[in-house]
Amino acid sequence: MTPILQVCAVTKSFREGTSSRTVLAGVNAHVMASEVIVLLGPSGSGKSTIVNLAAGMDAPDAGRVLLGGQDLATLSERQRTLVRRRRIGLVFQGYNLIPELTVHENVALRGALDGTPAPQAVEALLAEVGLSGRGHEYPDHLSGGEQQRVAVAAALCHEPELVLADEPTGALDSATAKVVIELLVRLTRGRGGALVLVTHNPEYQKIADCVWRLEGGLLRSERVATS
Amino acid sequence: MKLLLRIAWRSHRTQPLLALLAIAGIALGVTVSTAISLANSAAKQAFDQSITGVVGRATHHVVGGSAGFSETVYPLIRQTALLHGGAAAPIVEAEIMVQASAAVAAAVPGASQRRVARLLGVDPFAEAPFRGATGALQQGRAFPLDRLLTEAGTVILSRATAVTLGLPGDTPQAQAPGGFLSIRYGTHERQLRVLATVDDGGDALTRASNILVVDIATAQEVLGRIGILDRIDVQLPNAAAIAAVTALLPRGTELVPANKRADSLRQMTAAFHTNLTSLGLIALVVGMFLIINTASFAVVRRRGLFARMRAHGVTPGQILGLVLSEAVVAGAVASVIGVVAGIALARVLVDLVTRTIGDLYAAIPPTTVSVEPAIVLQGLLLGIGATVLAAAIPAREAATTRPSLALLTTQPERQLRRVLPWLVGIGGVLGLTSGAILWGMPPTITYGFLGLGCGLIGAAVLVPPILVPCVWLLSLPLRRTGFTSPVGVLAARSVGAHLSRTGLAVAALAVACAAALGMSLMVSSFRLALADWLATTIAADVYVSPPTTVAARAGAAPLDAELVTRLVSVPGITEVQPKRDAQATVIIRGQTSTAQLAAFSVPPERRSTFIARPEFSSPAASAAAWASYDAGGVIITEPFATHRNLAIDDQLTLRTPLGDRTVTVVAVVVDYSSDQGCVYVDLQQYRAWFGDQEISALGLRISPTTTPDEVIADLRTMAGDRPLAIIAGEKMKAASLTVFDQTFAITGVIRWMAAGVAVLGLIAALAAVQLERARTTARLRAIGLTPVGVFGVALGECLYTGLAAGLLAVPLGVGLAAGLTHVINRRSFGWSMELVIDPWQLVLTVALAAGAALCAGVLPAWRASRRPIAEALHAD
Repeated sequence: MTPILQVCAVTKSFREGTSSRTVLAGVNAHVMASEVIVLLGPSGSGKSTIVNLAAGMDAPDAGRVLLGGQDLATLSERQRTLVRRRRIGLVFQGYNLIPELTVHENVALRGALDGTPAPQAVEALLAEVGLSGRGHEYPDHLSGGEQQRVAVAAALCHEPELVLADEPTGALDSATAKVVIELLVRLTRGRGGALVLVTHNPEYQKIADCVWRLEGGLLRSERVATS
Repeated sequence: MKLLLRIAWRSHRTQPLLALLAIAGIALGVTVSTAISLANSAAKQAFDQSITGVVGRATHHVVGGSAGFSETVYPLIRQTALLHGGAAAPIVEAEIMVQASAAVAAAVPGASQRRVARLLGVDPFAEAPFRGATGALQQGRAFPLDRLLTEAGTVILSRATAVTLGLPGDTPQAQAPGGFLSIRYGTHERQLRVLATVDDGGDALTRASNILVVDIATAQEVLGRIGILDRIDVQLPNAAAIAAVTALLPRGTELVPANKRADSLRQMTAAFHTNLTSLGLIALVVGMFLIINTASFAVVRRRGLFARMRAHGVTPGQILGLVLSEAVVAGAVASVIGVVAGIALARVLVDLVTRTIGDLYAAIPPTTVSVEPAIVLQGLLLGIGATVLAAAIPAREAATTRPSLALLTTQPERQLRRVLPWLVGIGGVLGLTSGAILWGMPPTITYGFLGLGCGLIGAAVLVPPILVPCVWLLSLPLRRTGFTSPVGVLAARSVGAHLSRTGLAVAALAVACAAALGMSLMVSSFRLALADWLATTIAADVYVSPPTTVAARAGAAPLDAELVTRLVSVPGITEVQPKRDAQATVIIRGQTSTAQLAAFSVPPERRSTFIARPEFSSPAASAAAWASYDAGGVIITEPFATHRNLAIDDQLTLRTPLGDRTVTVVAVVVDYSSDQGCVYVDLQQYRAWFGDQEISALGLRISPTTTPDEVIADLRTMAGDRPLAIIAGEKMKAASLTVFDQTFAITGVIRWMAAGVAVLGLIAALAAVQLERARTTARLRAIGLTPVGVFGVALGECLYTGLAAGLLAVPLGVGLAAGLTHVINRRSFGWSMELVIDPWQLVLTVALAAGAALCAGVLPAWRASRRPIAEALHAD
């Protein structure tokens, strides 16, 4: 079976003043369908870089990133954008909702961009994240936890193959964070998608099928026996 | 503080384009206001200098009517003045056409051009106390006035005048004996030898340009006024001297204070300067908006930085101090740049201004812009003051807001939304104040400007509260048609979401577009009214007159009687309408002043259209008015009625050589030929009252079997080498409209400058919005919006911004046009006209605003679409 995501010998460096720092040094990894990956690593270890590369928002210096077997580097900027729109869901620490759009519009945005609005699916998803009847509100009227639940709904509304969540609970208290993670895992699995969850919190290893540990530019993958 | 300044400096270095935009914005605001002030002032100075050169240091003038008075009165007046410790000097003067002689024209490029100048005939021995020229001679400077006496037919002119006439003073051709000037006055032409061109001797005569100084006898000969003086300049030190000279005055002459005469000369161009001032004020308002916009943005975009500094223990006072010192430095740098650019721009504008004054009012030389400290200071104060003021308000807010709140990008929007009701209130109060000033205060031009200014600023203050509903309304048609693309929705909502940025920019653009529309509507209405008036007034097929400027026609030479007889004998002429333009002293409510008289007969068939005003709409009223006119009443023009506060049935007294004659005003008519106004008198009555049989101009009706061109050719043949302005009626109408267009050419330039200022302000605002939206844009890109989509959202936002500004500019512009037409024009010129609203101009204004906004938004939109997603997404 073809992995959803393959990271093959990826190297990535960043310029820092006059010198250069390598954050990924020949990293290899893959994500299978319906798999939940928890990516752990200290600050600056390159966790967000992997998310950016996987979403086609950045390009590796060397190596390849394949989504469903397709090398993202061979796609144009527009094609990569369309891949993100249709096949990937993104959740970030800072909620990343569009402040000018209502909750409903934020969740429906990808469909609207594709010209395939699905208002009923949006309402159903909002009900699943516990925000039924709040679709008309604007994000700045919601609490942090509520905003992140909207972000989860927005990332899943188009039923992506891969959900990339970059420290989605970093700005939340532990109780709210737990609710959001459970929601994220449940809804992703329920829709048959794979999830890569970037976090500092080792507690979330227990929900993972596989744990990636990133340190010193190298990635170590560990299968988790039971989840 | 040094550390804080370093932080601020590094912050600017990370966004050099925005820092440059801020400096450019402030500089451009200063440039526009400084350039207009300098150009206006330079033209005024040149005109004043011309007046001083003519009027000199006299305390009073003895003046007569247009025909002047006998020189026999001079010796007695001089003796009396000297007895009382004063002085007197006779003057003969006129505006003449001057051209370098063929020899000079061949040697000096451009010298062949004919120009208007003032011929001043003086008595060299009486001149010293007045224009100082003899004083210059006594001090050893080469101003050989005495040689004017000994060498007949000679002329002295300043080096500046020589240059103006294309006679560079250092060329041998400009010096005697090679330099000859060809002088034309009326139908007379005469060659005068240039005795000398002299340097600026610091006296009034050598400083004043465009004045040709000749001996009084030469002047009388050239102007055909042998034995006649135009005025006597006198210095009368006390009341006894004034009384003694007054007692000597023959009938038809009077003693008038010198400042009154200078004032009346200055008044000639006052209306034109008023027009420029109004444009300058509009540019100033738009410039101030730009400065406030850019300066406040420079502070607001660093709210996060200030919040972090506050979190690290920097006190609110230190933040405020930092921002204000930064504003002073930025304001100073930008103001210096703006003033320098303003001086350069003024050199271009002054040419336009002086050319118009020269064409319409009086001989005025091409003027150089002198850097006036007061105007430079005004520019610097405007730049620094507005920058500090604009920076202080958001800086104070940023310094005192809790750091946790200041880090939120939505905070300025929340704060603005809180003050929106206040803005509505302030706008409303300013609007009411404007109405109260315009309708409640005395109808002066100052109150007119104040009222319009209040209204304009009030409307601008109302823009932010109106903007959101306006954009919502604009997006409604798209929604109705089912166009609910996220790109369109995001673009429309972004305008309201960034009201703290877009509000001020839209206000500036709306004011600039409103100013452009207001001026356009006023000018086009004025042009239509002028064209209508010309169609009514220019009823003859061919006009014959001596060549002169519009303002000088009353003092122009009459047509030679013998020549007139020959001219009217040209075949094809069916009707001759003679006209006499003259000056006369009028007494209105005990106040004495000089007025222009136009004496002509109005044929019965033209009478109904001649006074086409509502009060004469009934045939009976019209017939009664004309009956009174034929019986010795006068018709006055609107400007005359406005300036002298006269109405129908009022009385005025004309001082004639045969004594004072009180006449009744029978009608007030539209007349756009002079902004000072004129009194129309029946020609037969004028001749009887003034004993003046001269003719200034001829209107000729021709037979249908011939053409104006054929008659003009015959008239030219008949005139021979006598210089005459002979023009077909239709061409005269076209020429009048050309002069009109030229007069208002400068308004077009300033309108575009104001629009340019607004566009730059918009670029700064839109760049700010895109910078603040960077993270949102990155989110959209991450979600799947393509770069083209991002570009579309950004540009769509610009389009909504521009459309909103354009739509808001329409009512504001129409209001401004109404104000300019019915208040400013009425009060400063006295002209009434209908405001004609051309729908095409309204559409054009909206299109202009939208186009300007789109142009301004292209670069920020392009930058937004190219920004790396990952970097922007994770940036704080």
